[in-house]
Amino acid sequence: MRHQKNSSVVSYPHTFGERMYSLFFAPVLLVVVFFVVAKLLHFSGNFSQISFYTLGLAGLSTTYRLVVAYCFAVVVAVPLAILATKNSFMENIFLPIFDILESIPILAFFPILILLFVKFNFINGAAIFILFLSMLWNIVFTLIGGIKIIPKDIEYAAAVFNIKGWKYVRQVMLPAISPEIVTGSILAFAQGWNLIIVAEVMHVYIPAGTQSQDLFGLGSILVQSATSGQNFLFLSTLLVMIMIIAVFNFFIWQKLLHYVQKYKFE
Amino acid sequence: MNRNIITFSDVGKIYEPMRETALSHVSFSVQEKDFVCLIGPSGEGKTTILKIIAGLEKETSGAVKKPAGVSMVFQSSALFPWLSVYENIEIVLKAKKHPAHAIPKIVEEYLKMLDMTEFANKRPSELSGGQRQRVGIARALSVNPEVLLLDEPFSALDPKTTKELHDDLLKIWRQTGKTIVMVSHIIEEAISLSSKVLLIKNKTVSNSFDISLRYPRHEQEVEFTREVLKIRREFFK
Repeated sequence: MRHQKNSSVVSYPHTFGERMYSLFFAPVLLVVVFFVVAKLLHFSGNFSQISFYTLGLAGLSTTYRLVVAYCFAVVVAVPLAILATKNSFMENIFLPIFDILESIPILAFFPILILLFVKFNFINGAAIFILFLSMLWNIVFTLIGGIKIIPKDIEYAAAVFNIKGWKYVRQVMLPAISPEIVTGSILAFAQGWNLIIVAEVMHVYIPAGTQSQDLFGLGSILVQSATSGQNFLFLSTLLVMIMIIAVFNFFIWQKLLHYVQKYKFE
Repeated sequence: MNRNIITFSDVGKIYEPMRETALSHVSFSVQEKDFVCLIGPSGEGKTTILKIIAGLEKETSGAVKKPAGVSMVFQSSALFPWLSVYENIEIVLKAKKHPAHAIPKIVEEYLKMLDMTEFANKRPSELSGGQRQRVGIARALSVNPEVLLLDEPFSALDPKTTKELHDDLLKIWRQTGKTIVMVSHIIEEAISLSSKVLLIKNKTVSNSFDISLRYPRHEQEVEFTREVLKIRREFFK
């Protein structure tokens, strides 16, 4: 089972050097990447077809899909984790089911999912759904791990002082598992980035599909530029992707990791 | 004569699914305003008794009479690390449905009683072990319980802090007249503090000792040593 593995995968910058890195080096790196991408696009000769602006829009489209999928994943994962750890009876039922579901390769569902979403003319939904599935189990298992390490005394104290039911979930359990929510979110986003190429290149899965059916985003540009031999465009897209990941890391995850330190039990 | 506030009548407790016996034929009573210490070797059921009184566990057999107003101080203090000292007390008062306007006054009163007013805005991680236990005691008292339970609250503290907290606990006991039931594994601590010591051995109450020494009690006194030897004899028997 996975739910005890992910507890300390990431750390926040706590030494002087690490903070300096976050404060100065990261923004400088982003600026450098920005200029490198602009230059690469210029040299590639595709500047008129795919501008930096277009790549930016592709980055936003991809990020939008990831964020929507992530929000759904968190909303579903939290109750699932709470349900699965409610008592040993629930644990015995749900954990094996989760283990099996997690083990099923997500991509096996993809062709069916796409056909379903294409039927409703909502191809974006298929991509978001597959990203959601890829993120869900990372968050669920990290949260289950977090709930299981809430000290018994804390649970007893809550019970003695009548902090029960929804009040317990809101005032004790959710704050207590905040560090795991952040850790799970980081892992989930990483998984989402891994799958973005598959999620946006739809035509592969649609019978007699064409590239025009692909979703506009970094993943589809990466595949299209690679297959058409536009190496500079490929590199530029990759750098934009790295830039977005870095922005998320420096300005969201690192900040959240630092913030949730106060929620940790000693 | 004070009334019995807690009564255990032939209580047994078996933990499922291993069917592990935690308590067997436990009978005792605690009178109102008593300070009772449960002592005994590890794993003999002291904490289980406390949990049953607190309503955290249900007895498997026998009958337990206990009041509704029970509060508890934990070995680890069990403070919520994301809340300040003030908020740690405030949250339990809110949960116990105290009127919002009365809460600040109650919190301040108990922080003052435990000499923790200046730490109101600190988080538990910024406090020493002794200070955390003071907050734990303040939190437990703030809900005005009829019975205060303490589960080895001083076991992780240094002797100086332990002595200070012993004095404070006795002061609070005299001031508030609360019934106190405390688990300890140190005979000297039990005799210093309590009016009655229950020895828990073989999953049951094997002996009961009334301690009638005058407060303050000192370990150097002959009577104190005599009580220690009396209990120790039974403890190691």
